[in-house]
Amino acid sequence: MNAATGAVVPLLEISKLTTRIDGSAGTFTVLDHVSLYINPGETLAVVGESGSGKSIAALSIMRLLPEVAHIDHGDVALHAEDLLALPESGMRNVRGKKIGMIFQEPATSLNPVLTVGQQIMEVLERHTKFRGVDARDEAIRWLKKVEILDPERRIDEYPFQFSGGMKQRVMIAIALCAGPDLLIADEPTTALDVTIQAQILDLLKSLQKEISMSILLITHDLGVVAHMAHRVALMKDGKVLEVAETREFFTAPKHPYAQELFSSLPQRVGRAVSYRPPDPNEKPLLEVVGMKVHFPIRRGLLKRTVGYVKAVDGVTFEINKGETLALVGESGSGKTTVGKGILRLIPTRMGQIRYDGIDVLRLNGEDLRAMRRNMQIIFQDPFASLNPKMRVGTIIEEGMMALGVGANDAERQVRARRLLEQVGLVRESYDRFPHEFSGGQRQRVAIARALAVEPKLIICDEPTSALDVLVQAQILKLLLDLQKDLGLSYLFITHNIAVVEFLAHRVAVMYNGEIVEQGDAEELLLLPQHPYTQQLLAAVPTVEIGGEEFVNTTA
Amino acid sequence: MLAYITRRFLYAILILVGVNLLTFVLFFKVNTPDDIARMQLGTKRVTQEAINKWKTERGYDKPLIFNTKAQGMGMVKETIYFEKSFEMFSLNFGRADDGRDIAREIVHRAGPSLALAIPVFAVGLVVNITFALIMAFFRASYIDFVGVIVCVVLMSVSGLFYIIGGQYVMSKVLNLAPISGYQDGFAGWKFLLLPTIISVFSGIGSGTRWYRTIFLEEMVKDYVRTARAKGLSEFTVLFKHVLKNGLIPILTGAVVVIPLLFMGSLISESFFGIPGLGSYTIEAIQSQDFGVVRSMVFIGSALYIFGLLLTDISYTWADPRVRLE
Amino acid sequence: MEFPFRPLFLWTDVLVFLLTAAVIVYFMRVRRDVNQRATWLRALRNPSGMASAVILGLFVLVGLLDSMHFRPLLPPQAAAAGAAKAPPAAKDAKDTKAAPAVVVSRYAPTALSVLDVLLRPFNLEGERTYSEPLATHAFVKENREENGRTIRDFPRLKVAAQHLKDPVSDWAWDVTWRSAAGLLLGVVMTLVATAGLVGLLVRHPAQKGLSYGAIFSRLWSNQLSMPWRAAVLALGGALLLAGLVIVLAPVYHVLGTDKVGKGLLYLSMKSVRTALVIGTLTTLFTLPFALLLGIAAGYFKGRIDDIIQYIYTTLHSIPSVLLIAASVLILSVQLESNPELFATAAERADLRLFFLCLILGVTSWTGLCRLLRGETLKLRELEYIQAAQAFGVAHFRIIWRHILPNVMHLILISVVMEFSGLVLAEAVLSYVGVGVDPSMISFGTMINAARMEMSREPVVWWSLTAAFCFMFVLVLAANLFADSVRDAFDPRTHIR
Repeated sequence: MNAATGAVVPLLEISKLTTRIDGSAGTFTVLDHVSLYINPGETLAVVGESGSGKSIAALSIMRLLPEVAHIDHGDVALHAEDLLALPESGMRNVRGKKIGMIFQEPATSLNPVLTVGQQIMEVLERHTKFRGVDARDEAIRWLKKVEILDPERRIDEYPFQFSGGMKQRVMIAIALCAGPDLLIADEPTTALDVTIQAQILDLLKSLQKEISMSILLITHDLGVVAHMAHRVALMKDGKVLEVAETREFFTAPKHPYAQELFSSLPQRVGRAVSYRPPDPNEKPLLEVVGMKVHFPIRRGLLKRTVGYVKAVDGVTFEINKGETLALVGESGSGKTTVGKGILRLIPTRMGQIRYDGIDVLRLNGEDLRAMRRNMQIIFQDPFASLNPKMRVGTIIEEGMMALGVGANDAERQVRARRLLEQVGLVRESYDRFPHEFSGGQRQRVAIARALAVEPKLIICDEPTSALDVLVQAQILKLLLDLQKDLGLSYLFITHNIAVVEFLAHRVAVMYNGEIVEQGDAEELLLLPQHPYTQQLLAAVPTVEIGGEEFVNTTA
Repeated sequence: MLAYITRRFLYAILILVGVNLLTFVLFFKVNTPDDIARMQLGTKRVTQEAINKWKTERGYDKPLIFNTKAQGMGMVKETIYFEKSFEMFSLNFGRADDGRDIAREIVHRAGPSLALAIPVFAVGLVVNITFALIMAFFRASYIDFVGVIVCVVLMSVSGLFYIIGGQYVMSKVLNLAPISGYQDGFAGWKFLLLPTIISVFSGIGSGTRWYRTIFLEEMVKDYVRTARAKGLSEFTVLFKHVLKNGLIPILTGAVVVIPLLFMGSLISESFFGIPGLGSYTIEAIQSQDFGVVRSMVFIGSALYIFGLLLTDISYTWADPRVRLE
Repeated sequence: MEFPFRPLFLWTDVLVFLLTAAVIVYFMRVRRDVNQRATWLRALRNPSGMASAVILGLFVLVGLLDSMHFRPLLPPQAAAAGAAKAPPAAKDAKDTKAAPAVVVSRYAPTALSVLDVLLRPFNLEGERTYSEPLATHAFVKENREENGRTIRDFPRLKVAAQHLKDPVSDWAWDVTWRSAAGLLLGVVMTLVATAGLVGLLVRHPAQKGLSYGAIFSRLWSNQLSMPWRAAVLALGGALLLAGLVIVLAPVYHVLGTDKVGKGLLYLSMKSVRTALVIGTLTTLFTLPFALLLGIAAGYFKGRIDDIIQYIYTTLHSIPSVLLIAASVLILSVQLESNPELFATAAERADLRLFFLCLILGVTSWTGLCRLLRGETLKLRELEYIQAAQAFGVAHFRIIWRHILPNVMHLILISVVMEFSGLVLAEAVLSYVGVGVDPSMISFGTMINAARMEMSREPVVWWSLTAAFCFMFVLVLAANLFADSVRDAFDPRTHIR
């Protein structure tokens, strides 16, 4: 696996690259004396949390920085040619021809009004000898290479007619068709589902072998790193902290930050702490029976409903007191819809949702309001889930006011401050606005808001997927502690198997609006029965650190 | 696709009916025929007989919506609503206060209106897009900076000043073109030159600035970065990638006003003495001829709604995402 | 006991002052809110934003002074006569019998504003017709009897330049020294204002520990946290002009006179209020419709959305000029047939202005409504709204607490962006004949009157120039101010 080092001349060599951004608040350094090299045929992974400067590094190499940013000093040499000294026209011969690049969001990275064929042929006609019909044939050949079925027909289609994974394949064809020596892949699979991610990564690997190119892979996912990279560079705050062979990096990390990262990876011990075998005599806290959420499709002259999108189609499960049920699935599987349906944020078409024996779907008015005290929700995006115009105290008290928790304002205020402490924030947070907090802190506020009305069940809708791994670990730990102290039940909606391993007692796997398999977490993850579950678990990239295997873990 | 257009068409008719009812309420309920008569007859001490006579002469003496005295269909047909408002759907607009047939007048005057409005529209669109592209190409440079300032300054001048000042400079001082007048056929070009130039010029400020914003909004999108990463030149990026995306909102936005070109321009036409629908409308407003104003409101709305329909259709033609859905 | 005047509240005056109060309350709240204060400061940190804010502030000051109306106490004998004879200002009312509020009052039936009083020394009244700026003689030849012969020449003006013994030889020197004195006065006033500003800045915590001199030199080299230099330059420009006016206007018509001999400086100043009223009150009238319907459509979706969309598409389909024209025509018919609504010509003109704003507002809320609907559609899917719904918070409360504060910036941007367009629209509408009352002084009526003068020989250029300059400066300042407000408040431009 290991590429030779030292003996060969590096393909790309970066030394002391420093990039700054001129903001309204002054200039700050986003890349600080970054030095790296990539050998021919090698994959170098640059890993780091959001804001570590890894994407800026890629854009600096391509000289495609946004207008506010500029390279202050440093060298970037490709084949010993100084890229920073090239005139803009010379640089244009490097872009696409010698260095190809793919981006994180395949949905927006393609021009929506040009066919994929036009977008590939454009590169061919710019950088290769192919013209006209030849260019078209070559483009078709490349679509075939990136495993797009029926390329002769699809070449004339527009990007919106392709799925996310397919768009990323087209992007790969665009980046590679002029035969570059280096591919810069900036989080190429972050926006994709885990099964699609596995396919794209495999495609990149096989293409790399076939045309012997180097890859600069930028990612925050240690699993992807372990799967793809020969060497790893760890970045934080614009600096490269450690560069090492992949095996060495994972077995004997030198830098304390790397060690901290690894120790924060969710381990299987989590759920054992709070585990309590369900009492067979006790009634489950929440029973969902045959739940269906259908969205009407309206067509034709009068916009009559001609059919339904079956977002959730007959889902049945139950959650006991003090238990965590993980609802796992890929995007579009309907898992979030289940959560919102239970809370009646969206109408459920059929089925029963019984909380403590009472059918939630039959409640109205005051009864429904009373029921809302029992079930609350924590959302995925900590930036969209708090009203930017309200102070944290008001945010937490809103639910208490609406549901009549606490006798008066003073009492509610005391309670809000106590909750802030309980979720690990200082009391002074009460008077601040959401924008004064980091993502993790905001998520703590959101947890405090949910806890304020003393619910028994909290629906956690991907509460950590927008957070960096260190923060994710803290939030998960907080949720576990709260479960232990307050005896909460969680419906934990996630696509992240690692999180499931960490805190789920039982798991339900959703696919296309149905639960294909559910059972005890330990058993289901070890011995999945349904083919989809097997495929899902197999696609999860794993990291082996010190002999212990970790699943899909993001940094 | 066909169902979509049919649905939009039916919706357009529904809106036109709404406009018709609204104007009816405005012109006959808020402002009763008695009010109009008193207004037209001018003097304060008007007898009820004089008012009734005026109403009978012009057909305003019938009930508003429902005629209880008539028989059969006449109950609906012999009413002010049917004769004055509903009849407009069959392009029967009745007569103006000076006794002329409004429909015929409209047909006569549409030509001169179009003779001015079409060149102004086409030249203006081309000029504004060109300037906007130049500014987008040189964005964040002095050319762009000065361009934006010039645009804001041009925007801050009232259109009336452009016309009055333009007439003064071009015709009186420089003697380049006749101040006003109109002649049918190609010989009339010299009368149209000045109003066209002035109208285009007065629209440059806001138009260019608006299109520049559209282009700049496109230029920060991800696909532009992809295009640059392909090694394309800024020129190709702008003219192949950005232009194509930016033109969708610009052209579909322009389509909506194409039918309205028939209406002409109120201000230019009256200043430059062009006998089009714009000056017709102004004269009607100034002489308080409600019949003509009502007809123009109806036609203007109908044309605008037609423009909306055209916009929907042009979207399906310009944007593959809409065309193929 | 009799007061020397009795305040008169016209419809638009009341609204203007309510609006002013609302703006003051708003800015007091902004002061307390860290976020909003930072955003507003960002709008003013832009030099053009700062300069235009100063200029707009001066225009607003003029407008407010011109909105404080009162009726002065008549001298006893005039009071009796005043009851019988219609006041001169009501001459535009065709029908003096329509204004017979002849309760024998001791107060003049004409409305004066504070601005009228302040401008009195600078507004020489009594010329017969046109005169050029700073002229000593009339612009039109007249026949005059001298020593029994009829001479046709340019007569001396009746009230202007009376202090010159020999206008031909004295004029140039008189104007020169008066201009120099005026400029000097302007410079002095600017220096005083700058000193005052520096004095304020010294006390401000941001400039802690800086001496007066240090602040002054930083102000001049633009190194302070705010672009105060732009503010000083803008104010200085205005004060220089004010200095010139203060020295020249008591003896000359600085901007000339119009056809009936009215000073154009006075007319231009009076037009400012009309423009401001139209630009602000109209948006005030659009807000209830746009807010209520736009947010309701976006929040409730479904049938309610369909109905609201239908309403605004229908209204928007009618070409706005025609809808406004039709409404104003109907309005004038109604005003004509209901003379009991107003007592004086000024009140009639004011009522018409009020309704013009109302009509403009009712016909132009659709744009903002559509914008708010779109934004609400986006907001209602946001998770903090869903969190509130999960608590069972009532719809109205969600709209009030969560939606409204988060669309406020759009409303603000649209209010400032609309302003200049409305000022320009007034001129066009008045030209078409569906604008303000012909007796009301406005840019539109000024342009309308001046339009034919351009074809006179020799040309009467100054009335159009006066209207042009005032209107241009007002609209330009409004446009620049709107740009910086939008840049500061629009999150999209902020990212860029």
